[in-house]
Amino acid sequence: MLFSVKHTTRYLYEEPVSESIGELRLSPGAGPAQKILSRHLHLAPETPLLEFDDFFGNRVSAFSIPQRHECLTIIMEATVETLPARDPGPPADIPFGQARRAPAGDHLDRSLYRLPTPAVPLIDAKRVLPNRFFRDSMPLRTALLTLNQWIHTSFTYRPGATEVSTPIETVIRERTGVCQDFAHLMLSILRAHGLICRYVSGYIEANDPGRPAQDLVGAHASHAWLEVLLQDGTWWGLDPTNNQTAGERHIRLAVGRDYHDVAPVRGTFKGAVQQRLKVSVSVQRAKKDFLL
Amino acid sequence: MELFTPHPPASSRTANASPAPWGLDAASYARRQAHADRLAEQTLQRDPSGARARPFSVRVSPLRIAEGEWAVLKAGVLQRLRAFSALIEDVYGKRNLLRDGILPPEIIYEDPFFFPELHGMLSTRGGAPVFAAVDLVRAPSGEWQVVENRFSTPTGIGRLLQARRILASSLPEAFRAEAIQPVQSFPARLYEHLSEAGLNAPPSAQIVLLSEGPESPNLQEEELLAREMGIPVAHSHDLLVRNGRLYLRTIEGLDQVGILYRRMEPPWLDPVGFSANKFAGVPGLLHCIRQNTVRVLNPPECAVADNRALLRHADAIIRYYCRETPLLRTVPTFYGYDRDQAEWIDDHRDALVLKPVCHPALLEQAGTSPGPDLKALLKKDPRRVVGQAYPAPEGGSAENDPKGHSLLRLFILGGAHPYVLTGGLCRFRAITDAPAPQPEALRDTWVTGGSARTGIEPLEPQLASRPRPLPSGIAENLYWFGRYLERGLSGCRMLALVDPWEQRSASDGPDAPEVTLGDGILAALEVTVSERAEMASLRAFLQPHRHPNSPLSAFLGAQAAMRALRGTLSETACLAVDAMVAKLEHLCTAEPDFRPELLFRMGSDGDAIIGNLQRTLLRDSGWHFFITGHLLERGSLLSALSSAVLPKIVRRMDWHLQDEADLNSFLKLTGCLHLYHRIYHSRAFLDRTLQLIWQSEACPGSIAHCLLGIRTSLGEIDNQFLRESAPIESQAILDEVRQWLTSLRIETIIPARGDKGLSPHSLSLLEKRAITEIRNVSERLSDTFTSLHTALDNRFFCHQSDTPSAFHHAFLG
Repeated sequence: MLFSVKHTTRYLYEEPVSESIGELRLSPGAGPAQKILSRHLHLAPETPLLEFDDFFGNRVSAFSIPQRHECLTIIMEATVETLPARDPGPPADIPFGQARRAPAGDHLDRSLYRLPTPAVPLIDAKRVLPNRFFRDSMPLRTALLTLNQWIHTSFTYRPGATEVSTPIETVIRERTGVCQDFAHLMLSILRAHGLICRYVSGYIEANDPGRPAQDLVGAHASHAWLEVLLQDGTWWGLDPTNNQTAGERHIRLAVGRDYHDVAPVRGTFKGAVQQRLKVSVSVQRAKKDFLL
Repeated sequence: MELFTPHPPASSRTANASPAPWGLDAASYARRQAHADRLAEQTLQRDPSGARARPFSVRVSPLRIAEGEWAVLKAGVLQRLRAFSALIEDVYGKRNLLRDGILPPEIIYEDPFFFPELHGMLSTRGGAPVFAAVDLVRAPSGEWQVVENRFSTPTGIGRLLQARRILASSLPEAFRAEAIQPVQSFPARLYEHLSEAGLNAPPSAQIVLLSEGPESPNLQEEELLAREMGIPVAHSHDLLVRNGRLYLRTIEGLDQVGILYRRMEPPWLDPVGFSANKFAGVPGLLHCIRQNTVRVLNPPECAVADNRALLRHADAIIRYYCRETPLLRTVPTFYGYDRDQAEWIDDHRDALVLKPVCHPALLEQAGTSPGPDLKALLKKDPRRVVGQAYPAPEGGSAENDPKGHSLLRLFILGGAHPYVLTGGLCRFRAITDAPAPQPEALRDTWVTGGSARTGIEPLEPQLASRPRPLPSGIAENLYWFGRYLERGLSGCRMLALVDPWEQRSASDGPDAPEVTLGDGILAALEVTVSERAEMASLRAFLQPHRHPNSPLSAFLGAQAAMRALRGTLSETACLAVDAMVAKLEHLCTAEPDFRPELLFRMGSDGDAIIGNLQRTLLRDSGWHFFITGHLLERGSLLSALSSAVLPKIVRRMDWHLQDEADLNSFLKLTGCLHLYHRIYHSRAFLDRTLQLIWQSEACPGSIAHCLLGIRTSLGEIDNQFLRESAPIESQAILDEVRQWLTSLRIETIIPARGDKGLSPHSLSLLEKRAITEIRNVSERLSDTFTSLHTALDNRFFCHQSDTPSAFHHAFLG
């Protein structure tokens, strides 16, 4: 499926600010599930970008705007071709007990994705989940899909219900959150069980033109889900917000241990505290011949 | 760590020392010890970090290390330097160590000092020439065993140099009799080490010491090293990144930094580069390191070698990277990543020395606060604790000879020609249950023999340094310190005289004099009508964090500026500011019998602080920034007050002819009533009031006086302190405004004194013109102060060349 994505982030300041310095993680990367046909990152005020790849393999664009400005606009435009989701196959059918504490194999750095972070502490899953939720004998696939569904049904999705800094405990207590909280929660439960899994930021196509009844949530801004490492070294994407596996309508942007590793814009500026943030994301189906 | 408290300053150890080697008897030793203790105390008194620095004493019995023993130590620590430098590069490079299974990966990945943000940067910069330290403990056999690596930001070199100086002064005969290896040249060597790191830096780029901050307990050491090396000490806010380069902000402009001597732990270096950090540090610093426009020593990557869990694998690490047999033993170390070891630590927790796995502050950031109780942390999160089996303690033979461990810190400079400082910092840690912190017992460490010569080591002459311009951070903080102090003081004085909320309800109507004055005060403090309505009373306005311009907020601002100025301001001034803030806080929040008059006392306290500053502050360019801030704030307040109050007084001119009460109160608010009477010997008249408040340079409460004072200070800065820069543009603006103000003819605004028998009609015409004129003049004055602030801010503090109206946000912030 071919998408043209436009992600606009605009900061408006009441008084001019200066010394804006930041890092952008706004470059969708190529992978087994998607191809990048074009990508363009534009900043106003215009400024050169320093680009590098971070530890997790994301392309980072660093900028600095020393002069005074009243508005900072960041526009990312990309054309991405996504491929239909592949069934994870037999690696997803091993017993849950076997998947836990499985070695990271050749890709040693992946064991980092099993460790707790300040935003995703290893919670006591038994305290949160219904009794006997996981059994070591159940297939990994069943365990993951059941958890995906349980989060979807037990928690209410409400935009604006939480902030980036809301601790996971609050989300559990209030049973309310946004996609980022649900991804953090699922990561926390899975990591507490010794699974290797990572946070994915990206976009989602909300309305399927062909099937208007199946609207997905999380499209008004960037979306978040997670991926679990399978024994064959592939990642399986799960979207607890929509009770789905990640598929053709998910466009991946960046991966990390938690939100803080993939924050699309991170930076500081000098000046007035009053700032207004406007984010808009549009994900449109594109035609291939249009591109040629 | 909590198993140990330091050696009490007992005379016992001197008594036990080898008998009278330099012809000194026990009584002489006691005298020498008293002398050394006095010197240590004086050293502490000079410490700008005050109470945060740990008290110490230097024993007059040095630790002696003979040539042969030294050779073993030297080879051993150099081997460690090689091995762990290789580890640092490997961890941030290919991670072969983990691939080859030398360590369980979680030891690295779960270390709060491992930063994925630094991935892949070190190899492009060509390795890590570090300034490292290694801590060792002495076993009863005399063997030294390693207890810790200090590769990130080793401290203690300052105490080492101080201990040597104290001992040289206390035992001069020993230095004449024995050949002791010198240590005083270390700062010069460190300077060379730093310079070599920046071979690719432009010649104009300088070396700067990046301090941990004004709250650091190591301020004295930082200042000592910087002074000896002739380099400036910078806090993060003194540095600025532009176009991928690092600059030191000074009042002369931006100075490029080529080499940064890092004294701050990595995550606080850069709020943009490190995801766990949102505020501290220099935004964009990591991008500069990545582009190799600045070299940082030690590289932030080095922190990974300080992970105490690695010590368990020290031998394997040395074998892996050096392919050699380890020369120094490491004390057995256990960590909680592995469940068996965690249990073992817990079972033997009283016999082991428990330590946090990394820098305690980072644990707090990772969400597991170490607190004082490592045993509790061991239960809560065993992965954050290591246990070390120290060798059997020494001492304890006599009743007052405490048992404990001698710990020795050796300092190494890495790079192409590694160097181990021939000396060390030796501390004795007694095993005791006494909870009271005792002075840390230090011993000078003497490496004897070899090329050493007898004689007291001369102090190394300080490296020549060019006279440096004042850092913008200090200028800016002094400027704001002046402004906030004045804002707080004037606020207190004015509100003590008139309570704008109390008078609101007075039955005199909106034009009653007290209401007018209340409005003026609120206008001067920039309290809007809606803000005033939101707050029920003066008490509400005074509450902490309620309004940014309330006296308490202003004093808190002054206090924050003061804290950033430690070392520039005198200790007494700092204490006085703290005391004043505490007093005002109590008055605003807890005083049961609150009356506005009580605020008046705060004014006197503030005057005492300004008096103290006048007595103690160095008359450098910083002083002039303080005075400028102080006078600029006063001038702005007076302009706002004139603009808000005087037109209303004019409006009631006929009423005023009979009663001078409102003008008297206005003069009182500005603090000029007394001077008015001294000058005019008459009741208060409007024209004379205007003359005094606007034009009289001789009256310290006048706008003319403020302008003159600012002009003088800027002239001083320009003539004496800015040698290489363009003249300060604001001087011309000031001259123009002053000339205009002097030439202003008050009699054209208020032509008559009001006692010449004017008809009501002409009086009303007169009023109208006077009101317009007063507003115009006040406005122009206000604008002058506003643009003056913007110009100073652009030129000296934030180094912006364009000049949009940036006044408001800076005023609030």
